[in-house]
Amino acid sequence: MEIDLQGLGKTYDGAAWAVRDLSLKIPSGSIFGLIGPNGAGKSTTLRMLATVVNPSAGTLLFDGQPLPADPSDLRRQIGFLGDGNPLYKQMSPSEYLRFFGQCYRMSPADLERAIEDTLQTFDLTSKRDSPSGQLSKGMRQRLLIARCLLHKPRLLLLDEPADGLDPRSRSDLRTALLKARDSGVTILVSSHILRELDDLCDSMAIIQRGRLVVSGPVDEIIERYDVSRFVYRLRILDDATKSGLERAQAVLREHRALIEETGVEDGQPTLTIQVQGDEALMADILAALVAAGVRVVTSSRLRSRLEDVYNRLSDDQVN
Amino acid sequence: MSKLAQLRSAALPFVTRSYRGGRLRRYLLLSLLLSVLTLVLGAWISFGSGQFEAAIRQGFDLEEPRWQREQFEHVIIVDSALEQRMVLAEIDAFDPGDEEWNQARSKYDEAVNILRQAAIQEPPRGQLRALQADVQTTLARHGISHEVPDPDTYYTYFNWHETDQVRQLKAILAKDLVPSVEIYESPLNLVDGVRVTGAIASGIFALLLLVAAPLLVGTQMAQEVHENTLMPLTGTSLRTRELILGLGAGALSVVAVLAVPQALLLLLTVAFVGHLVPALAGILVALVGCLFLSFLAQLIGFALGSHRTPGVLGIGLLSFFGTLAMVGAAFGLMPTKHTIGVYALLPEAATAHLFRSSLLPHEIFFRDWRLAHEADFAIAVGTVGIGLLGLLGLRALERKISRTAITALTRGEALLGAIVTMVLVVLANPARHNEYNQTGAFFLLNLALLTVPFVVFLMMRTPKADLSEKRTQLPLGSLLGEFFLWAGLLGVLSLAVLKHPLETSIHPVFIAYLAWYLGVLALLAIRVVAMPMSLASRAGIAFSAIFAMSAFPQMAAWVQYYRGADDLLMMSHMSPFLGFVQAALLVAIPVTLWRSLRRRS
Repeated sequence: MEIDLQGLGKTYDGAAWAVRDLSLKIPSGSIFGLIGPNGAGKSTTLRMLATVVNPSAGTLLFDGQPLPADPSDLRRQIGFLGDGNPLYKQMSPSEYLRFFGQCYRMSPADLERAIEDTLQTFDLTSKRDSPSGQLSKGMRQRLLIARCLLHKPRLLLLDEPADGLDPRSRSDLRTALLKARDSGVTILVSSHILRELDDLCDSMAIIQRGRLVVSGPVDEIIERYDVSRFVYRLRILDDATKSGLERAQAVLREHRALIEETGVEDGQPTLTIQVQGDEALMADILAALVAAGVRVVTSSRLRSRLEDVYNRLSDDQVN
Repeated sequence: MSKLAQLRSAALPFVTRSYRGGRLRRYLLLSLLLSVLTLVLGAWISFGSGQFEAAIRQGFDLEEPRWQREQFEHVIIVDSALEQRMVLAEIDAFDPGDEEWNQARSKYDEAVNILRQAAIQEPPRGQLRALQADVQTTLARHGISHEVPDPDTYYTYFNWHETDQVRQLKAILAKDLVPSVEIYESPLNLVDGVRVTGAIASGIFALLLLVAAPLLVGTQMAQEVHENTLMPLTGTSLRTRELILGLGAGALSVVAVLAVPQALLLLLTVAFVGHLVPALAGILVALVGCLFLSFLAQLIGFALGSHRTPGVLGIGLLSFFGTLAMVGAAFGLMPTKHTIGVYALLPEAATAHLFRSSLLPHEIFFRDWRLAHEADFAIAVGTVGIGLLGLLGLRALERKISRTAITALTRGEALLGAIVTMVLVVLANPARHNEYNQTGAFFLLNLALLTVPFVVFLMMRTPKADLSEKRTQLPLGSLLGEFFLWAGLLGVLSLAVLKHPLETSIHPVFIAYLAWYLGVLALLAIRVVAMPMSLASRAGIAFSAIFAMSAFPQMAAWVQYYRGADDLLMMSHMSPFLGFVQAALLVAIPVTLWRSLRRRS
């Protein structure tokens, strides 16, 4: 489902605008990230897209069609996880999914099949009859997301979906979202944790104080707003005594380069370093390393990450 | 999909949720227990010999009070066989010449006194003359003079037209002055027992529909709002109206499991020993009342759910609906000529009246058929009115949840709501029956009762400030105009229903005072909805509301009693300074409200 937002705006009190003049185009079958600090208008935007809040201004187009007067049929194609959606604590996962499936008017046969599939997909089968109040936070979050995918929507709207998830669950969520995207679902996901979206989203938008700062494909944005962080990755050849690595670290310390990360690649050590200066300084460091007998195989400058772009664009307003 | 299929489809998730995990089995078991309890209670109240159940029977005119039976049947009623033996021994040993006081002496003196009164008082008809002859013969046989010993201390008048006195006389003669002694037992027979059981079933049914149902529906809505679980539901393919009805159906499905057997018990009993039509009408009125109160409870739950916990709101709703049920039951079960109109306003009263009429009709309606017709009229008007108000509540709730319109009610809907409530209130106002009424006082009494609904309607007419600035420009003049129009219509209606209004002209100061009161109320209602509320503005609005409310009785008192320029500012009687403050507030409050609202209009 292709989404088109044209000059979208929302005010709750007639004075302050939660979202103002927001124009975006979200391609069908893509994962779109909505980034912004708390209070930027992400949740309001998602609620308008979920048709649970009416825009105060602007137009929303779903597959080129404006929002119908009765959006109930459209909602069958939308899965929406709002911010802070609690579960009914007394209901078990299977009861909870059945309840929402019936609210989406799924036929009994389809519903029972979908419940089984969804419980399995989200690894909740063993807890299917336990009260939701007894599930771990991660399981509860998984159940909430499972509810959004139960009726096989064409548009999935997730507001801070990874909140409370452990690393494994985040990874599972990522897999589930990629799988959904591959099946043609358009996914709009908001987060203020940028690393969650870095290599997940195809496109993204940054909004602040209700206004759009930038939008487009992730690679393009990073390319466009390359912040030129002087971060390099060095791969060196080391001997059995590891003296090469030690020597390299000593040289880098002398040149006040910050070692962000050490690792191993193809059996040889790597160093990710941040250089507090321009390329000339890096050339000096490389010369010093060679002079110190460090056998540098490769030296490559790393491209900026989404977080860097955001930090640059947001004018130190990162939450 | 047909409307009915849509409704069923919308109710399915919520009913399934209510009945999930063996809950239906538990509700059925509870329902069975409640039905058994109804039968047990029916048998106990019908045939129990304790004072409590006797008092209930007497309250419903099923049994004559014990003292009346003792007096008019010339009998001593005791509670046990032992007591019976003791009293019989007293009677056996009784000697009229003995001065010792006991029950035998008391009944003997009472009997002699009645006989003496009857002996000297002229009876009106031939048959009663024969009875008087019997009295004289009996007195002579017992050697008792006809003369009352001391006319100054003894009551000498025997009323031959009083059925109970004649009945008492006959009993004394039949028993030849010697009272019988009976162990107390319920006078009710099996048919009466069935009627009482039906009455209890009707009471439980009414309580379930008019108290438990709205309480559950309102609390559930409050919980959904409080825990933010309503928002995901609004994003499903249920339309807002379906969602509201579905949410209601979920809670009502639990009540239905308990209420249906009670309704069946009621219908079964009236089919054999009562009147089916009032019972069916009672069920209809209870259902309409249940829907109205449920929508009202949902509105309250939705409006306050985000600020208060469901538990606190539940207690509030229980108090509110419980009080309405008690007041309604009192009016319905114990009607008087002047309170019949309340049936229009309180479905609880109408339901109680109809259920009572189906099984244990009140004697007041046998004596005056016009009263029965008036009751039927009030119930019919009330049911239609309450039904209309219920529909308006549903519309308002729908718009508030979906936020698809800038106001919860349209102008026409608010006008309809205002007209319906004023008709119901005017019908219910007992002062309507007075031959002569002060027009202003009658109007003010109605206005006092209608202040809350009028303010609520105006709040529902006020655009909320959550849409674009252009669309939410505040039509201040138009809103004030609507409010004053409702008050004007109330004035016309009040005047129209009075038989003999005492005033033809209304004092201009009263008009000005009334305009001030209505204006301030309207501005406060609009201010609450239309603009954001800070702590200071809340305090200011609360103070202004209290000041306006305190002005109302002053206005009423001035119209009724004083009408002097000195009495316009009551607080000036306490101190000139306070009088000045009152005058300043009379000007400052509306001006401040007006100026703040003008910024948005």
